[in-house]
Amino acid sequence: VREVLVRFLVGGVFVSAFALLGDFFKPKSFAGLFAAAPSVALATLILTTLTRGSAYAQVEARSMVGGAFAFFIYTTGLCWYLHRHGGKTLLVVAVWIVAWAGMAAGAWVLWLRPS
Amino acid sequence: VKIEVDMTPIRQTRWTGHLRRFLVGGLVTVATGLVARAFGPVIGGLFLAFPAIFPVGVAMIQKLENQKVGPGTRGDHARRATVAEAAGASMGSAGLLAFALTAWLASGSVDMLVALGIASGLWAVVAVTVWTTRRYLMSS
Repeated sequence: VREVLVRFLVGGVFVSAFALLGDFFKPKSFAGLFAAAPSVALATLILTTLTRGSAYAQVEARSMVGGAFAFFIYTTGLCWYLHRHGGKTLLVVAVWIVAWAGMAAGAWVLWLRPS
Repeated sequence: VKIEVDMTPIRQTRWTGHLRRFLVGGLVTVATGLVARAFGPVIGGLFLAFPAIFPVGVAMIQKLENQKVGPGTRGDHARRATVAEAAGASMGSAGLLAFALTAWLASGSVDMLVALGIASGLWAVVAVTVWTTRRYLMSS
């Protein structure tokens, strides 16, 4: 329970800090850089290193490369779709998470899955 | 295009908006830890780049932008702001990739916490460089 609480607080602080930093800047596309900030990753990897050691955190960081590539496909595809087709923005943003999941699964199958 | 510091969105955002981001950030971090515990660090690591915060940011942008304009142009204005945010996030994901690669590769030779420090610095440098380069190419 204590570990969950610490994770919750540290994660909340990191995410809020990066998001606030993004709120400060104009234009919007520059502020958008902070939407791709490694806030959850930084909080998680610090806590994992302290509780489970560097080797465990290194495995997570390697997998994160696949997740980050999927995030690139997600934001780029989302940007293209909204620009070209429009639609209900929040619904489109939510539905495109399927693309992230597909790419992340692909990264696992092609690269990360233990042979 | 000049990069400006603007305090208005922070003043306009209600405290519930900031609280929502804190809660989502905390919950996602907990969930990532639980996924790693249940399925191992290989699958857990993928979720370190899960786009959970992005939709919350978009919801806040929608609310702020819709408040600024009249009912007639509500959807369009907010959509344009979201496209700009997504374009920025797309460029920022190059930084996210640099962060992950650095944390993974550098932790083999230096302490993991030092590697994370280097990776964070590199995230900022790569993200800003990609954004500036794209702006330069678009204006020339």
